[in-house]
Amino acid sequence: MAAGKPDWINVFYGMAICLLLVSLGAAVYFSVAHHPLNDHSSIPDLTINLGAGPVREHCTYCHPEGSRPSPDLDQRSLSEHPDISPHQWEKLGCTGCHLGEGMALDVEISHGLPGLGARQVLSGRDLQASCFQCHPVGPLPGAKKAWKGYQRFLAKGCNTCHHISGLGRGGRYGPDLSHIGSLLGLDLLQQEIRDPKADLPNSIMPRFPLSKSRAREIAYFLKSRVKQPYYATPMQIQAGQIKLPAISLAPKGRELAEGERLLFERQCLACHQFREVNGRIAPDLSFIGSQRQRSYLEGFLDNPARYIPGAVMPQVPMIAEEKTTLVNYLSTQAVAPENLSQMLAKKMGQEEPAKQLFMRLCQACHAAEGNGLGPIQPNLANFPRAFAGNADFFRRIQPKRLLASIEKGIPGTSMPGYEKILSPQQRQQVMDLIFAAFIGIGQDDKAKPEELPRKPVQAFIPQDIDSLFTDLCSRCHGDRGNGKGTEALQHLPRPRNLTNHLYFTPLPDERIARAIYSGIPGTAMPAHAEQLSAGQLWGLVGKIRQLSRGNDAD
Amino acid sequence: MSRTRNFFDHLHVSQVRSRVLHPLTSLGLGIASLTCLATLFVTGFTLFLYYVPDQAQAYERILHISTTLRFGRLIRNLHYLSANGLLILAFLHMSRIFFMGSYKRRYLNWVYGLTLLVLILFANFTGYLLPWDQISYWAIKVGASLAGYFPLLGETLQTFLLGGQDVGPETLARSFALHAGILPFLLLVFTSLHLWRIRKDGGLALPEAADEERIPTIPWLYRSEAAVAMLTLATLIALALLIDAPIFERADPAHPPNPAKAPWYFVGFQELVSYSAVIGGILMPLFWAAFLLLAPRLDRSRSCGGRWFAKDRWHWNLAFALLLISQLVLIYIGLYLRGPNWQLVLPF
Repeated sequence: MAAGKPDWINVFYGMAICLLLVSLGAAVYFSVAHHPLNDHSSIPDLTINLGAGPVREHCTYCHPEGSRPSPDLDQRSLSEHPDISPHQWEKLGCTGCHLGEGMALDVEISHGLPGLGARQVLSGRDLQASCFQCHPVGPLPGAKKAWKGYQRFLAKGCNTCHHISGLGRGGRYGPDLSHIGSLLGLDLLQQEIRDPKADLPNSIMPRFPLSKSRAREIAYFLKSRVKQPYYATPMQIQAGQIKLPAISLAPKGRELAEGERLLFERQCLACHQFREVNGRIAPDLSFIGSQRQRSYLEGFLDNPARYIPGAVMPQVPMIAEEKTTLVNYLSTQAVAPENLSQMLAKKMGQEEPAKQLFMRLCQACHAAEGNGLGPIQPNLANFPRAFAGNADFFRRIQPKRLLASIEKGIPGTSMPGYEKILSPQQRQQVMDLIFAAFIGIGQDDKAKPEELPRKPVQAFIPQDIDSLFTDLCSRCHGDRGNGKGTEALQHLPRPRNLTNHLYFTPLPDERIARAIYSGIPGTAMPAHAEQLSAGQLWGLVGKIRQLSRGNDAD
Repeated sequence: MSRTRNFFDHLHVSQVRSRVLHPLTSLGLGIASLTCLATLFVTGFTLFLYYVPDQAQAYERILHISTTLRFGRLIRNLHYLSANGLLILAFLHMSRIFFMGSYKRRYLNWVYGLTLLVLILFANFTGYLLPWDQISYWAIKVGASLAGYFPLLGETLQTFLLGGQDVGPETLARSFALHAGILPFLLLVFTSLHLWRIRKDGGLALPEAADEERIPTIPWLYRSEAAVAMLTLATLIALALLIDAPIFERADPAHPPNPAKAPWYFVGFQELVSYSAVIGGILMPLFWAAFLLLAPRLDRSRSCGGRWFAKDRWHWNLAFALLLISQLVLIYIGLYLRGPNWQLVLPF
């Protein structure tokens, strides 16, 4: 045996044994003392099958007979589950209606963890979010708000963009909502409906004017759209036998022309304004017959983005006769009356006529403050020109061009022409108003335009121009010139969509070159005069021509 | 001394030099890792009894285990903690071997050790998915995509891990099979080989010293080993009472959390991939593998193994330390400083 015994090992050993014993003791103590089984009852374990497979639940441990829980174990069974006849809670179980996690026995987890909130417990008036999981959607006692939510869902035209199973023709633009109730919680649904861009800044869903409680109603309906509805077999769903009821959206008690009825039934007025009905999302259709040609309206209904590239309006499925009726109606009936300005004056009191015209025709996009942030601006493909605080921009524009914009509109954008609505004097009055009230400079206060470099004779090397475009332009205008570069969302007005052939075709080359050379005041477009040689400048003009033509080809 | 010999005597020499028992020699990291592994086996067998690898049931079963069953939470916490503990301790153990140069003339055992490290990572990764909650689902998706960056083998490996192109029921089934069947077996085999090689190589690697004191293995080595093991276990249990294994919402393939992060031990690579897919997905993993596999072969320093930070190995130690620190920094950035859309956010 060696001489020096390492006695410290014994100390170490003994200490380790003690610590292990202490920790084991603590483990046993905490696991036993804080375990639900210690009140000598057994843990209820119900298995319920409502049609989507067996579901196990421990809920009645804290909620015996469906009562409210009480911290005092003996008091628990005092509050009874409300009478839900003809249902019997014993047969339905708990999580079928109330959701939550039945297999958990923990106050926090069993009531559904936060996050998406798909399994968060429903109680009180929120419980009606579950009724249509089993019951066919319709008027149902106790589920009044959920039923109202479905009506609102249709009235707001949600299904023109979103598909939802049960409504035959579904939109192809937004996410499928057929199973949304299994994925998201009520609160999140409500929040997403009210402010779609809060979560996804690049969402194109308009922000519908819905109060919290109205959005909640739609959320109640959507929460009942689950993956495996209890009342239907997958085969019935596939075969299209499970339908959501059709509802007439046209107002009752009023004779409507067929075309006007279609405006309601095809959900146009969920977004657009027509006379007194205002969806507050999309432009006014009241005078559209005077603003757009018949062929434009027909084509627009087939493919809105072809006429206004980047428009968020979906293609609305419509049979041919309906479309003809609607276009007929709009092009003949939705026209401006001769005495529009007097009519407006009568309606709005005795204010100056140009102001009324502006409020009626321009305000929705350009805003009453003239800053371009009108109520429907977020849903437009192009930012309405700001007047207020934008004097530098207007110093550069000749009066002829401004009047032409009002008269003919701006092709490839939502700005229509007012040629047939406003007389030349009225157009001039509106213009005077805009200059006086918003721009704040005289109409003849113009800046002398900078001299543009001459277009060189020799051709440009396309590769050089492409890489120049990538370096200078693509961060905002995107690699393909569609105005969706990585920094696009940081700027309002958003960068111009350079593939918009309708917009660019009538523009002279000089105007495109000038925009690049001197920038555009009031927007994020900077001047590039210092950075570009004449060859590069005109090469980029050619590149933009090529981008906008490329779109024309398809 | 009359005492029946037992199995463990095969793994120990009969007398050890007193230096072997010094706490600073080995830091007890090997034994601590072994304890974690044993804890994993015991708790794993228990969880095996209750877990069902089925998309519809897996999550509920985890809830059942951790909230309803007596000791269920403790056992799941222990499993979780010892799994992460094993990964950390095994890495520290490897670092200890590296910084001491103990791999010298023990290349085979070094390779066994590396194999064990890979197996531990793999077992951790497959186990990560089993609760089938939001974080685990998306972490596995990110982790498998990281594997996909690797040229030639990457996509095959990804398909093998996922059992298809996406995380789905096949992924759950094979993660469970690997985690609870194949990997524990391989871990057992390679741990045995690892221990056996230590004995064959003559115990711990230590520089020769003249007339050093020798101490009988029984009881001193046994006692110190047992003490380390018990301390590790006590620490694990104490932590298991304080730290709960995480559980999030049910997995939702339609809604990724933002940001979706790989399991923490791969977040360093994910962070690198966010700068460059080539560096993070190909070069860095290759460099790690090449460095760890080849360092003992290329290390031509004279000093014999078993000495902390030997002077003639300083460049090797420095290289390894830099590699280790860079990985830790990357993991820290990826875990704590990355917010939605992988934007940098400050933690305060």
